[in-house]
Amino acid sequence: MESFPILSLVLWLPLLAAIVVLFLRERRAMFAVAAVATALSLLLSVAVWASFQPGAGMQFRESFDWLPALGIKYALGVDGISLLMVLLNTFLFFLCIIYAWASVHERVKEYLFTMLLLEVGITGVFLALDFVLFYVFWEIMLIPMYVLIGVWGGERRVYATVKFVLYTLFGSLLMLVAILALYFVHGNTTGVYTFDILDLTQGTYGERFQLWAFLAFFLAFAIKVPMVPFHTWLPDAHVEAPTTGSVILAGILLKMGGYGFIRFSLPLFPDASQLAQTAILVLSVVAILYGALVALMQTDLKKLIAYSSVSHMGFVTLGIFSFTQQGIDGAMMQMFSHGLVTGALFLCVGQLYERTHDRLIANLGGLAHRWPIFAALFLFFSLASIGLPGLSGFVGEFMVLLGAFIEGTRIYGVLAVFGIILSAAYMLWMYWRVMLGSLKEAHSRLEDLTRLETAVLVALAVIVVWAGLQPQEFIGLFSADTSGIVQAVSASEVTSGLLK
Amino acid sequence: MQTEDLITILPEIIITVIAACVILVDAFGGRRTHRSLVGLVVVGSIVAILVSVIVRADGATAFSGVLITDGYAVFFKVLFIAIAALSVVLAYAQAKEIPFAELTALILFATVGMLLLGATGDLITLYLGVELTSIPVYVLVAIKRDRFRATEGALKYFLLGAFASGVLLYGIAWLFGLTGTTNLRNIAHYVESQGADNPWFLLGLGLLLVGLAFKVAAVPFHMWTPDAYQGAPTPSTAFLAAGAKMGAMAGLLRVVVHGLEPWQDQVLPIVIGIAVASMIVGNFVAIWQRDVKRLLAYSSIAHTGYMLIGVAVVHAQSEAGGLMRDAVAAVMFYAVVYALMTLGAFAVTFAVERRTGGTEMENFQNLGRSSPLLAAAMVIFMISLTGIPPAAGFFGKLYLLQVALNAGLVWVAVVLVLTSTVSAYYYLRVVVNMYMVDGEPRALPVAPSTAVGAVVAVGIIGTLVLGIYPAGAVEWAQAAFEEAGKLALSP
Repeated sequence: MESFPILSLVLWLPLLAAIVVLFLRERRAMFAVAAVATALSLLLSVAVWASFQPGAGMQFRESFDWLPALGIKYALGVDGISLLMVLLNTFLFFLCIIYAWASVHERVKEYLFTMLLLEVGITGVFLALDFVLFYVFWEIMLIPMYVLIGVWGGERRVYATVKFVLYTLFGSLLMLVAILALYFVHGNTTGVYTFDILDLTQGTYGERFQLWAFLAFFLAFAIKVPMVPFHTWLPDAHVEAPTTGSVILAGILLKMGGYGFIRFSLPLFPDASQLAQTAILVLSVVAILYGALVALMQTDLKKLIAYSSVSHMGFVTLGIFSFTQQGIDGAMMQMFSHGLVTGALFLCVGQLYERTHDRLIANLGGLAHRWPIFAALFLFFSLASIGLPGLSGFVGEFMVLLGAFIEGTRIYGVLAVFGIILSAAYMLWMYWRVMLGSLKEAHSRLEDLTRLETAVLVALAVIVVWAGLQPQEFIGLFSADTSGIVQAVSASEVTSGLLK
Repeated sequence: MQTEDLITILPEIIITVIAACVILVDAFGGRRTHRSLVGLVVVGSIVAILVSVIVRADGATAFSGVLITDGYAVFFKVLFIAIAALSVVLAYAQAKEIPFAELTALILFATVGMLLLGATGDLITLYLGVELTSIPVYVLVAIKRDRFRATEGALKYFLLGAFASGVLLYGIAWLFGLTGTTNLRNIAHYVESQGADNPWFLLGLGLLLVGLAFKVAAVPFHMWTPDAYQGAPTPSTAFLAAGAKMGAMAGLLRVVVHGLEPWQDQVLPIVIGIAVASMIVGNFVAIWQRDVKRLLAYSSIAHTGYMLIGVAVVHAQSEAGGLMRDAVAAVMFYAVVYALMTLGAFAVTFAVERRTGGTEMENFQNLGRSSPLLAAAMVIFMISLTGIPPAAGFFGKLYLLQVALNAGLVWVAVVLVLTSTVSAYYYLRVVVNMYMVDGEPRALPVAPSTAVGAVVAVGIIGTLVLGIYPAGAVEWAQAAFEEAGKLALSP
């Protein structure tokens, strides 16, 4: 399609802003540029949404030769699955920049440069239609995140950030080998040597190859999600990351894993996915329950939310590997909702920490007396995280459970329900200890949220309510695309009966 | 000897003449001539590069086959001359403390050796190139002769290097004795007709490979590297890593492409073994290094390992085809990328050394605050060495991985990526020291000298341009091979 390269614009605007920021001196000007660029990126992605036709496959495609000697292209496009992720991404980045305007005062230039670069990397992951391009973006985003945690982070930031990088790099490099192997296997069987994601997902591969390649992709995605037992980097990274870093990490970075499963693992390796189903379902349920139980025990607010993320992302993998329409749609909704809600919760914790300089639950209490607005919003997002009907969290979890409640995987659905109960326990208990009770002397003079902070949280809350009340608006975007994936997987002759 | 023959070695002649001029200007021009020497070298190098591009006699041989002047040779000539010029510029920053003119002349002489290595079609030229490169480099390492470490490093390098040269020569002698020729292609044809499993042949082959493996600093012949790299003044180290080593790599690849085809079944496992050992040892030992120069020395061993993968599979079977072209082009592309990022990294290290008096990790402490530009440059070099996009190192590794998988060596590809993950740990440690530790910077902000800044800038621009738009360089390397390939296959 020869048309206005709108996706490239969405993708590269932040980079342009990042370069401009390098040459500015004033803090206000830097933030203004960053805010305008992220806002434009957001507006453009909304414009894409407005003219997007659900069910029409990849749209707004762009394609140029990049390294023709190796068959590598610069190819972009969106379908419903990626569009939702791009929207979430541009939205959260815009809010983060706005939020940081009020809160980040140290090394502003470097901070904005890093954030904007991060946005380019993550947007690129969702837009890329060429495997090498996808991989490039997948890795590009590593360095800004590393810097974000390492420079603006807390006390154990170096340990946390190096752990984060090594974990992710390990997984993604093995994926790179699998991508190249895919290139050759596809080329050797069809004679077409290409890194085109659409072409490669059309192909069929031998079972043995599928298993190995699936495993390599699985490692990369499972570490990103993160699935138990690959989750240990997450609490460290979250605790040490600055507020906006945590928001991006929980809000979008983890979604790259889920996106990878839906976009690559299932359609490329249906047989291997079937074979691995049981194992992954078990891991998902373990993540849901283990994450929730560990969250219950946490004394640090950020760690609590980090472990709740492990639990919530367990629902995502559970939904995806139920191989049902509801399950995968639910996983998408759960990712979208988790991005908004957990992002908001990390913002809340950040605001709390900036005022009290404390994240230990035991040292807090009674803050609701001083901060009515904060208390209301924090409660709202806590409830959304639990999955209160009418809010976005409910839609995702409910659909995932619906998808899992079929013959054969019902037991996992049943077990996962306990995760929701536990989430109510840890969130409400946390809220009670932090916000209710008697106010600590040291905190008696602190101010409530500023207007800007309130606006950021309210913006998130509006979407949470919208997605909770009108989920069809969002599900309609991608359900045609996910149904294709469900068909591809269920067409596989292999079943995981052997493993059961 | 014909006039055409002389024209084909015009770049070599130009470099030699410049080197001679440098010595003369220094002898008669007094001590204030350093700046003009640098000017002379830079201008002369540009001329030599232009000449090498213009006089390319495609696929021809000169001096009855001992030199080949094809695209491959031209490619490396351009690279090596540029490296030499950059090294001289870098050394200019400490011109007052070292015998600068001698250093410049030595770098240029070594460069002539490297140019020969890229063009060699004969074992005698190979040996000539190796020695012409090595002997000046021994001196370059020891050029600060009052420093204990320099002398130690140079002595180790010299003793082991001389021994390795002997081994190489012994191998050449064996092969000559058995085949009656030193011409690479004639050896290949003879061996093919006689059967490659002859144990005497294998002895010659083994000696040849050992000698060259030493020169490219591959495990287990790498012992001299860390001491020599650390002891040498930093500009010499930069030249040693980016120049001399790549020269040996160019020679090795040439020998494998033209001469070792009949031995493919033996070469592949041997070279792959060396490559894997280099990747593992280089990357793991680098973790424990506290000195950045030593760290880069071990990392250079690892990078040799990566490149040797391409060397090993030159003649391997592949279902997808085009393997030989891709293998050679991948090594060539990686050589360029490696030279750029290594020169850059050593240039930054050099700047830090001049400011803080050392190259230990601690000397980099909070460089991000005291000199943001240098630190940012170092970050890009470290990212590139790790192989993370958008730096050129990524495409270098991607191409080598592609080649490894094309040859069906999945396990080697896996070793490459796993050891790359390990390497991320120590490269990032440098970044951690520059940005993420508490405390004060080691030194007050002082702008690096123009000379160092220029080399860093070239490194950065090259690394980023090749990382974002690698197509041009890759296609050049592939086209260069097409010519070399024709020769390899012709009778």
